[in-house]
Amino acid sequence: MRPSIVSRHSEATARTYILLPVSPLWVYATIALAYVLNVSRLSSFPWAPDFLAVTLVFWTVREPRITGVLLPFLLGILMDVFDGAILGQHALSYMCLCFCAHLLERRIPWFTPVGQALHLLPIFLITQAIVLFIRYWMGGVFPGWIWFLQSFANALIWPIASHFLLMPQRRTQNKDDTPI
Amino acid sequence: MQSGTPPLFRQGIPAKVRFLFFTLLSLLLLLVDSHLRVLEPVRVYVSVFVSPIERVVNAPFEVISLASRFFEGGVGQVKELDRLRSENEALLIQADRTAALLEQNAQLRTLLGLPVDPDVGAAVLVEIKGAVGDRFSRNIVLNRGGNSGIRGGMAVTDSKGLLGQVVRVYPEECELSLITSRGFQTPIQFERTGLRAIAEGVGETDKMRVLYVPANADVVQGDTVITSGIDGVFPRNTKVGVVTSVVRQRGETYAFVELQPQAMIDDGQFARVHLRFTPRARDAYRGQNAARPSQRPSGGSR
Repeated sequence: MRPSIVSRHSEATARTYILLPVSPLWVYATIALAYVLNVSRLSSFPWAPDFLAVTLVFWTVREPRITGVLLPFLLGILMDVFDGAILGQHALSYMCLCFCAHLLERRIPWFTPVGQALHLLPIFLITQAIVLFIRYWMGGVFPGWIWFLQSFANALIWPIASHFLLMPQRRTQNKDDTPI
Repeated sequence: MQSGTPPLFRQGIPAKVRFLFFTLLSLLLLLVDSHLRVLEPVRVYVSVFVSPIERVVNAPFEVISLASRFFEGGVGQVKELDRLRSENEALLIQADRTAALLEQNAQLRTLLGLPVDPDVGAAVLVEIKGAVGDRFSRNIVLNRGGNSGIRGGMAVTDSKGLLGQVVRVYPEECELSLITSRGFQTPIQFERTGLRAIAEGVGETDKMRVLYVPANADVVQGDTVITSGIDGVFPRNTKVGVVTSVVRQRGETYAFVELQPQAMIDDGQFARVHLRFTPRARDAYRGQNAARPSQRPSGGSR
């Protein structure tokens, strides 16, 4: 048993890159892109993921010092205005997500992208449940169980999103096979 | 002397405290915005910055849908054009007749010394853009706003009947709450008998219930229901719906009456916003809860 685990571990480490430092500009650019995707027609379907939530969670896990706490809050307000929702609904959802991401900040990067998605799925679901509870309690219409589909969509695009978001940091891979 | 070690790295307020602060702030915002209307200006200012981005992002999608509609053309469009031409002829004749009647009516009113009919007023034709993104409300977005004279609280009708009331106004668009939304109350009248009652939305698009119809009242299936206009918000004699069921139970003071709304709640394309902004409409709009637009403190239901 033991040798196989060791070998698998070494395989995993062999595949990992030493990432370049991230550029804050890239972080802000991807967040802006996610916002644009969120306000586009693509997001009008119930199965559309919340691109902004995924991006914010990703950068909160990777670079919490760049995203901070104020940015998710303000973006939440922007999404509320766009959606015509009660002000604070998306802000609350993004705060919950980023807080959980902050708690799991040390643990998540150890897993493969699929494992990370499995870690984040319950977080997405809990956040949606909180928002659902609060809005229903305030006299909203029950949007149906299809409401929770978004969490699964978020978890599904997580591996793709994390691959894409890490691209510029992975760029120069030192082959290290040149003779000295 | 203080003898604590100085902090090695200044980190400011701990992250957890900051998260907690902003979470509480968003909860506070939720509470304030769902019960008061003080945050509406904030929303309008933010939307002025946000809506151009939205428009630019969605421009390619608009072009694609326009192009697909342009190319699908053919026989169907020719038929549609014929139908619209004949309909337009009929409508023009009707409009002529209506204009004559209106003038006659105004003259008769002046002869009798009656005040000008408040329900005959300016209206804006608007296009229905679709439902709002928020999945917790069934509100609808219209393509005109404050710049066209629309104010919160104004009544909206379509070609078939009463559609709802404007609840939120931006410079170039506005949001409408449907008469079928949960808790939305409309003062109504049965056209055949003149009996007044209140219709209330139950959150379904094809059903409303009528409150306070006495059990012995003369109401039968198929009765037409119109607005009574006593609220000063909705124009009088606008069609609301048709009674679909009347159930009288022994021992109940009121009959259970259900009606089907006449307006095209789900698939309308155009609507009219009545530019009448009476003091009562304004008061009703200000005192309202954002989630339940037309509810007034009026006794328990049934």
